Amino acid sequence: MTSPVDTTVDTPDWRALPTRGQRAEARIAAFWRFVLRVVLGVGILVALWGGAIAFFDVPIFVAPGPWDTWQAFLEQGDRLFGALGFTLTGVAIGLALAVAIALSLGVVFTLSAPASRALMPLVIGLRTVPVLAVAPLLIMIFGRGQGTTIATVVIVGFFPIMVNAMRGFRSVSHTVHELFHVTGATWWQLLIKARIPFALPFFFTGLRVATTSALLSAMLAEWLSGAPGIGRLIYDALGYRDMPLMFAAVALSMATAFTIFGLATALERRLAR
Amino acid sequence: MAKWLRDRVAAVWPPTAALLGLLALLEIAVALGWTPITIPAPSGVAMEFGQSGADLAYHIVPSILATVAGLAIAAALAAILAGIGASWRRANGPVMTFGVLVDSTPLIAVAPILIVFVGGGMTLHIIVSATACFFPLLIGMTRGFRAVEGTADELFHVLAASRWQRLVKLALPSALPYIFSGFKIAAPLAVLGTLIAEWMGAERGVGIMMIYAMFSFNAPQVWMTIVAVCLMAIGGYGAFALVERIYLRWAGLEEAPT
Repeated sequence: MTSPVDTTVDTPDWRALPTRGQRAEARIAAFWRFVLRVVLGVGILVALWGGAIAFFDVPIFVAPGPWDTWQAFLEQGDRLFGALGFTLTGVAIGLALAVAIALSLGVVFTLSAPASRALMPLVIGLRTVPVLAVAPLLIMIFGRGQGTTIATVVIVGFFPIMVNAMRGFRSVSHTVHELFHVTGATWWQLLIKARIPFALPFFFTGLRVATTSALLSAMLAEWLSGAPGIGRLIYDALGYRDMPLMFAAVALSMATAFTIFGLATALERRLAR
Repeated sequence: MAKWLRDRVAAVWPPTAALLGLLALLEIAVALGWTPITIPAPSGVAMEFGQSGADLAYHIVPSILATVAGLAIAAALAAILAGIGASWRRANGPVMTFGVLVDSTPLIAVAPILIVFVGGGMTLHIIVSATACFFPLLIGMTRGFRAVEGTADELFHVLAASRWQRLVKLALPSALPYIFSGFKIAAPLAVLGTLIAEWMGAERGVGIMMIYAMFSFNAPQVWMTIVAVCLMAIGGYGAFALVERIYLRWAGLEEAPT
């Protein structure tokens, strides 16, 4: 009755595990599958669009087909990408400013309990308010140029970044807090070595939310203020009934929005681990 | 009860004091002439409410109607799609993809195409408002419909509950908290959607009133319309928060942490 002792430990066979190369290959395959799906989706959409235009015999000044839009895109590419570049510059500057302001205020609120108790409810309350509504006011204050775009992006981007960063600064676990206290760390060391690392995932979530709404608000601000960005271009084209140009600009801005959304989400997923 | 009241007061007075302090500071700064002409005194904005209150009332009615209609349409659509997604697993992926697609589409880019097809009237305002608030409703309802606990579900099965009893006594109570929080996020977004649509053109509407005030450089009136829009958004949020609280009290449940 002396059965040999079963020494096999329940470890997976290392030869069956995927190597780094195989894992990378799997990821690349997933990427291509994704590209294929996007191309297929866009293809079906364009086919439906062209089919509907041809079937109902819609005149070009009401809605152009895919081919006319593509022609406009080729002919006025410089203008389209120039406008898009203008908008994206405003978005980038605005987001950088929003991050700087939100983080410094977040640190102040975290360190000072009275300031937090007095001002945090106001900040949270402002979140229920559509901040984009102040765009006409910003135009009156900052004039009809890049300044309004930047200010709008700052105001829209500020709240999600700040609220998430605050949540992150607070998320330092109790034991870590006690360890820092026992070792006699200063508030500065606690901030740099515990609060900021703990806050990073939250911060990236806030940044993603801010980035995705930033392009929309920048285009909105331009459209109201008349700054020469892509938001204005769409409305100018509508005003001149240059429908191919308008559809090209709409398609370009939607593609940019989806790209930014995808990039921000992917970046968040990679960095927040 | 007294303790509850004292806690309430202790939580409320610092932000109230900060708000009043900021307003007083602004008032003083304007009185001393430190601010540009585009920033009026809070008392000036309050006086503007008295002066052009009738105009505001005239313009705000269609805005409220469009917001309510947009919210209702978005809620109905979200309920149908979330219901499909919850009862048929395979449809859930496409439904969510559709939601993300709608959410990340820049409204300002699609609105001109909509103008071409439906014109710049009330229909446009309702459609844009519904689009703006669709996604949080979809998320809230999808999560709500899935929130039934497995053990409770089995208990209802064992007790041979009918379909109707399941819906009313099991599915709805567990879904409602998520649906309420979806509505609380969606209501301010619907207000914003209406506002954006009205900026593009309207006969009556608080958005077009704001644009006219901006073009005639009437700073107090711009501020007044902005405050009015903010009050609309807070009112929408507050209405759903109130309904939620009434429901919770009626159902005898604890107040959910938000």
